[in-house]
Amino acid sequence: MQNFDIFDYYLKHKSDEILFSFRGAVSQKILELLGDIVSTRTSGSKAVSRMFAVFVELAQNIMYYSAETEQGLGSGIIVFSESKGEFTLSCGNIISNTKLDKLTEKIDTSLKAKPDQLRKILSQERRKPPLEDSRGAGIGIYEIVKKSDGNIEYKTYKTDSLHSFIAITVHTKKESENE
Amino acid sequence: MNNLIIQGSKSTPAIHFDADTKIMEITGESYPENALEFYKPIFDWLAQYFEAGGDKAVFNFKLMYFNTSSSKAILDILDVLDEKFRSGIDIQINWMYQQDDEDIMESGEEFAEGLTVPYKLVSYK
Repeated sequence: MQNFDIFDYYLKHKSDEILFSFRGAVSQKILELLGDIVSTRTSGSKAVSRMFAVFVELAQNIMYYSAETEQGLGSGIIVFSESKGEFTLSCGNIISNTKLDKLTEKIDTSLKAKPDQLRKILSQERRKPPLEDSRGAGIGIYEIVKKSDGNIEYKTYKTDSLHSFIAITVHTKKESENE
Repeated sequence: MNNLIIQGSKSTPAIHFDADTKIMEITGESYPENALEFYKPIFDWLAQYFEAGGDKAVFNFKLMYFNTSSSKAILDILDVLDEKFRSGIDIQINWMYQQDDEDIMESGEEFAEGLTVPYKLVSYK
């Protein structure tokens, strides 16, 4: 890490209002620790406390599906920030293009769905047998869209012919008391 | 028949399955690294319990938070219990939620859909 200037880094984090930024393999221990920060900062209104559920699903997405791994654990980046009006959680990781297509298709489908439809999709998918190559249920993304009331966006970046980087960002307004 | 006791942790619920009192409780938060692996002993114990002639079960779910992969396991437990109920075993399910926790209450309602086993939503303070 040559020419790294921690003061610059500090100023950048400060202007972006970043509470924490983590890059590396997401172990269960790390998930629990970062989850503590998220739940401590977001205690209060219900919409905001749902950020914890969003965090768990996003962090486990990295753990399970990242194409970059360290000792079997997926690696990626998690950035949590707090501005006056809202909390923002951004997660990113390298993913194979096959998995990427499935994931973005799920996000697009759930963003188009009305709350009732989304609930239906979730309950149908929950009853399907587990995916063979996964420790997860494969339905986290639907839950994220549901818990964030659709305040989610994603961006993809090509990294090589087989892989991409996907960044998923979820916003929660602090004052939001309505469902 | 041994009881199944698993201490709770930050991301795994406490399991207290008592073969004598026939009360089974799952309490806490559930977002383990691997839900299939965590819940496997629970399915195994239940299978043994009913095989050994367990004729009754009061099942208390008292979860404050669970992730999607845990929700799948919970649904599978409910399916096992529903099947046992339909084969004539006395089963009562209590889905407990903190009074103002609509999310847990709604999950409880949703999970009950399609089940025939006696199933109560119980709020607590």
